[in-house]
Amino acid sequence: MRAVEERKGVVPAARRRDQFPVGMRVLAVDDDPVCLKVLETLLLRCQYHVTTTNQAAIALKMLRENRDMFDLVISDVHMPDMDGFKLLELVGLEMDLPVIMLSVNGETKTVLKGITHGACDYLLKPVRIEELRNIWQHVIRRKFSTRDRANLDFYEECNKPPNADSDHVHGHVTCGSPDQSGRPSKKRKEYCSEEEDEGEVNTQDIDDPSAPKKPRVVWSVELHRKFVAAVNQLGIDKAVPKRILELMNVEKLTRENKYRLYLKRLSAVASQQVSIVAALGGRDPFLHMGGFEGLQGYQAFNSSAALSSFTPHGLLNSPRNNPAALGTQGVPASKSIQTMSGSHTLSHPINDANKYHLSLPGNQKGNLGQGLATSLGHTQMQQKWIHEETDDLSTILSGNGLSNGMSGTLQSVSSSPLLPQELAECTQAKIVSQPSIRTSSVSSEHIEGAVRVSSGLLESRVSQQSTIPLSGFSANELLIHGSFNNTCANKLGGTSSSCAPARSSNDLMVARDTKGGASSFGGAMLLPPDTEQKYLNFGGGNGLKQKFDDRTADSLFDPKFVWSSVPSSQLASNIGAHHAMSQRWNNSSSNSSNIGARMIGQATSSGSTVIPQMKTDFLVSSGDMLMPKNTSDLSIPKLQSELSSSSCSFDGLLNSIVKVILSWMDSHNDFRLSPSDHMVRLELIAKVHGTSQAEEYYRKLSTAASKKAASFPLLHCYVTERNVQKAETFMAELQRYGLPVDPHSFNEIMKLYVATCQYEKVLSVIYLMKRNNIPRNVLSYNIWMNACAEVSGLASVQSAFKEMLNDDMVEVGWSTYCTLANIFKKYGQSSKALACLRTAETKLSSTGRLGYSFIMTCYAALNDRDGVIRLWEASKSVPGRIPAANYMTAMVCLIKVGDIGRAEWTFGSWEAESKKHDVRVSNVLLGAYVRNGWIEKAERLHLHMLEKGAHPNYKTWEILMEGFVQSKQMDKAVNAMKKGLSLLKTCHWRPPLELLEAIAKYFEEQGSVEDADRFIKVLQKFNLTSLPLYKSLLGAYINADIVPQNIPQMIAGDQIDMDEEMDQLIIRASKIDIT
Amino acid sequence: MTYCSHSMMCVETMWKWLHHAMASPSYVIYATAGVGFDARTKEFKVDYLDEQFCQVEDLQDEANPNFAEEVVSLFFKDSARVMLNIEQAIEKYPKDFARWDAHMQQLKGSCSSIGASRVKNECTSFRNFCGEENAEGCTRSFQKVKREHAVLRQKLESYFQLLRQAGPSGTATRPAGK
Repeated sequence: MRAVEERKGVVPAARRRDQFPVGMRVLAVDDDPVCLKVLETLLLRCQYHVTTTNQAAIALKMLRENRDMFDLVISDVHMPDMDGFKLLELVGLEMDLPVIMLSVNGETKTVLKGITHGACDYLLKPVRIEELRNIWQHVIRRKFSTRDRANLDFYEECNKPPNADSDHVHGHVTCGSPDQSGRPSKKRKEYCSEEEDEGEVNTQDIDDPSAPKKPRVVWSVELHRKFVAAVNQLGIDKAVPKRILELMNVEKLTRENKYRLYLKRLSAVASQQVSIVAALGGRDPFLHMGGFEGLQGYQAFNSSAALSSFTPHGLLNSPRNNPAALGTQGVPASKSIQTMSGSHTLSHPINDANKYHLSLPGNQKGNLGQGLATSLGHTQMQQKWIHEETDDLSTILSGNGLSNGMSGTLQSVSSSPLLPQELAECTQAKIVSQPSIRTSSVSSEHIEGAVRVSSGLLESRVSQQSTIPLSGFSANELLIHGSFNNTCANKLGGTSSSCAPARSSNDLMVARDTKGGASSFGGAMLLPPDTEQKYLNFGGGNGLKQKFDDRTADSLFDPKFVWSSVPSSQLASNIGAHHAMSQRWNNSSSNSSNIGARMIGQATSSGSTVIPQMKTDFLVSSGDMLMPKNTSDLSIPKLQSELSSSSCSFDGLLNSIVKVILSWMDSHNDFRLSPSDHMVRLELIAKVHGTSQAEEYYRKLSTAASKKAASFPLLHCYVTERNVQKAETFMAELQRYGLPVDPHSFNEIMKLYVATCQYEKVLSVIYLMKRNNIPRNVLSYNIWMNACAEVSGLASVQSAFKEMLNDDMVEVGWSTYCTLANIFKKYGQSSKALACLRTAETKLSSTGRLGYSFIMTCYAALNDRDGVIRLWEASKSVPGRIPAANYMTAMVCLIKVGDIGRAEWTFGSWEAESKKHDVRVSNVLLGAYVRNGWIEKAERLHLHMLEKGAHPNYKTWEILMEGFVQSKQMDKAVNAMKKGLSLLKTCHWRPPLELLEAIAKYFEEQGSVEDADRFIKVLQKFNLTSLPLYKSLLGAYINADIVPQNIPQMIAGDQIDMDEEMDQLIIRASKIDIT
Repeated sequence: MTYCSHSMMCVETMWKWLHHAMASPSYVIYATAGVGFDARTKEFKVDYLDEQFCQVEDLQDEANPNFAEEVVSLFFKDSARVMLNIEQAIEKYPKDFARWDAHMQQLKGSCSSIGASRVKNECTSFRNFCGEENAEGCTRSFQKVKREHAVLRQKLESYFQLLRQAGPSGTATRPAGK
């Protein structure tokens, strides 16, 4: 009987070193020879260096004698000579080696025992090779406590096909233990000869026995990214597997089905886009598409590749939609698109619903808590995703897009129409106000205690004119749970050295009370250490004064609205209301996050463009005496942050704020952080320092409660990073610490799967939840149904729905019906979809506008004009002023169903009601005009708005520019472009390439060299030149018979690579010179 | 959906399964077509074995062309021993359920390693009877284990026989390109 056996994957030592985890030394211990043999072979397959023994005692002896000979131990739990746990304990005591336990017994108790004894992992028999391919991570974890880039490299290594090296395959033969490898190959020869002799014919004759076994590639996140990047680079029509493979440049990667599937999916999206357009009844797909999407539509045409064009628009829409709390513009579009491509669609309605439910009066605290949690997740996601987006996005966001979205957001919270106007005003002052509220914190704690309400807001003011990017900000101080007294008065250091001036502005509460705070910025830095105020304000700027008049109050919360469902005097209800509020707010962001998620998934741009997204969290304990009892007070944290519209340094600002807060927290070790504080802190860390730091922080948390509380934000990090592997590992880890009983983490991971198109896994998660009696909430069901639609078919969707109906824990609301409607629409059953929407209508209550707007967009997507009109009229029953965003939604929907007249009428009623002139509302109409080719009408509207004192944003100029290009009024187009650019010089917005090329083409055709020259010069300033533009320029010279001057130099100066055609053009142009 | 077939899995396995199952080629083959080159073997595999067996077969390669058969014969050799132990334990230590269970756990481990799903399921029910301290159930279940074991042995023997006739590469190694 063999006691110890050693085999290794044969890899030259040198290679082994740089190809971690190849050659990792594993000691496998199991008394069961069958298991051991399989395990050994599996490990060898992973190219580890394997030593096996069937006795724990021998294993221990070996380990003691040669401490440095092993990197990892895998041990069975039940062994006759020594219990696996004992071995585990001894190894843990004597040497610092990761030990993985292995057992057929998966009872929680046993697993827990393994973990408490120090096992780094607990695998169940039968072990799968995929599990073993990952075990090297435990070694890394041990070795590098601080995670750095190296990990990534390792990670990539790990994903290499284990058999990539054919040497290795043969190595098995030579290196294998003699009794095994020798014999089998001989045997095989015998078979061969037998076969030959007898001339037997088999079913097997297809197989070439000598063909080496194909190495397998695990489709990792990394590969996926590469793949997506490659597809993007090529553009969807050119993305043939071969080219993709070339671009990806991954060894041993072949054209697997996966790619094809993925491509199919992509092209489905692309074609869907077109078909939607067509479905929308446009003569010109381009136009209609745009019309459909509203303002953002324009953005969609920025990029030439279908895929990429998709992305920006989706993203764009998202922030916007949200605010309206009904994602009107974006939603229908993206929805229909999504319908085809995946279950993403679901997410909006779902989330919304989820939240919506929460805000309903009848709901219990628990629900509220849930909703909050979910919504939190969304929020973060959204932000994260946005961050990941590229310039396109940032363009939008940093421009009005951002403020739009944000203000919308605010509105949806406050249900007051004023904010946009506020915005407009600010714009005038060259300040864009960007209110960002952020609720932070989640977790069951909320549900249980219902004590914590956190809403973060940060007030910042930045003057655009100031040369200093961060001229200042005022931040709410962190109120820390349980320690809301003086400790909290702290100083946040100045973030920008050069900007001294800061004066405390009125604190928020005062502002609220007085319904109008005046913030002034003055000279020297002044810290308002008044603890009672609980604020720190950093004013900044060059004597800029910003006043908020009474109207500010309007733009805040409309107490009636939110509180209507809740008796305001009760504490509990206060909390509930808060949740409701945050939900509402989050709703908005959740839409975008979902859309964003998938957009990114497909268009992946990993650039980490910074979005100005400010966030500070402050926690308010509801028991806090400082907490105003009056709900309306509570609800009106002033959500104003202003920053220069041009400031892309906003992120820097945010970061510095958070850093200051963090370092302040560090320097005040004297007060104890509660679990929720840890949670918030982890969020902040993740935001500012990245996930790895957050992981580090998480690892250092000592108490289980803290870990539990902090786990959600960390999971969230993984989800936002779309790191499936980490999220799954983490989830498994969480489960070992005790199953999360709330559905949020599960929802989170399902969202991740949806975002990564792994719908089957969603089904598995649902199954898992069922098995473990984890309650599912509305969101879970909605995701589930979408996944069903994606994976199987209507029947499974219906059975999921049935299950939902039978689940007492959830109330089927409009979001679910909207989800169903989308699914039916996807399956082409419009009548059923409409029926669902009808039912959804019955579920609406007049406490919020979100549902109305949402269903309205669904009707719009189904091209049901009556439905749109009905919902719009019905939504007027919701008390309170109608926010501008809702007007916009209605207009977009009406335009989409082809009723521009009614849209104009709606615009008129908005104008009549509003005191300010939010250019975004008129942009909707402007876009519709332009897309219909009514440039005169568009110009008239534009002038009208100018007269009214509205301030065009870059979008306005972009729309007009497009209109002028269409009508061949190139001078005006160039002017519009210049105005757009001058508005946002330092920002990332850039005019769409198509338009630029169209203009250049026009000049070329006209042979107007001067114009073309001037045009190029303008573009040069903004680094917008490109090869096609230069070609047009040359063409203009050629057409005008003029010899160009130093164009090659200009091209070189702009660092543009020449191609053949260009060379020929230059020759052609200079030939004229010769002749 | 296939997840239903995994009802025996506990949470952790489930996660692992989630993690890996979809990516596993043997899973794909298992889920889509069955592994066999012939209807008979296919049917038999689906009935008596699970995807772990596919994994074991997947482990065969140039260097190890008969890995599956070797493991299987090792399994039968070892499981016969373990079953003898169980038999003796049932006789010698009546109602010593912990002891029975420990033995059976070992058998179950072996079964799961080669993917002998039916025997494994029977082992599980044996262990459940142990948990209920139901000696009679245990004895009955053990008889079933033996029966399943014998059936599987016979089936696998003919399966490998068939493979051998089919040729050196057999189904054992996954046909390239699939």
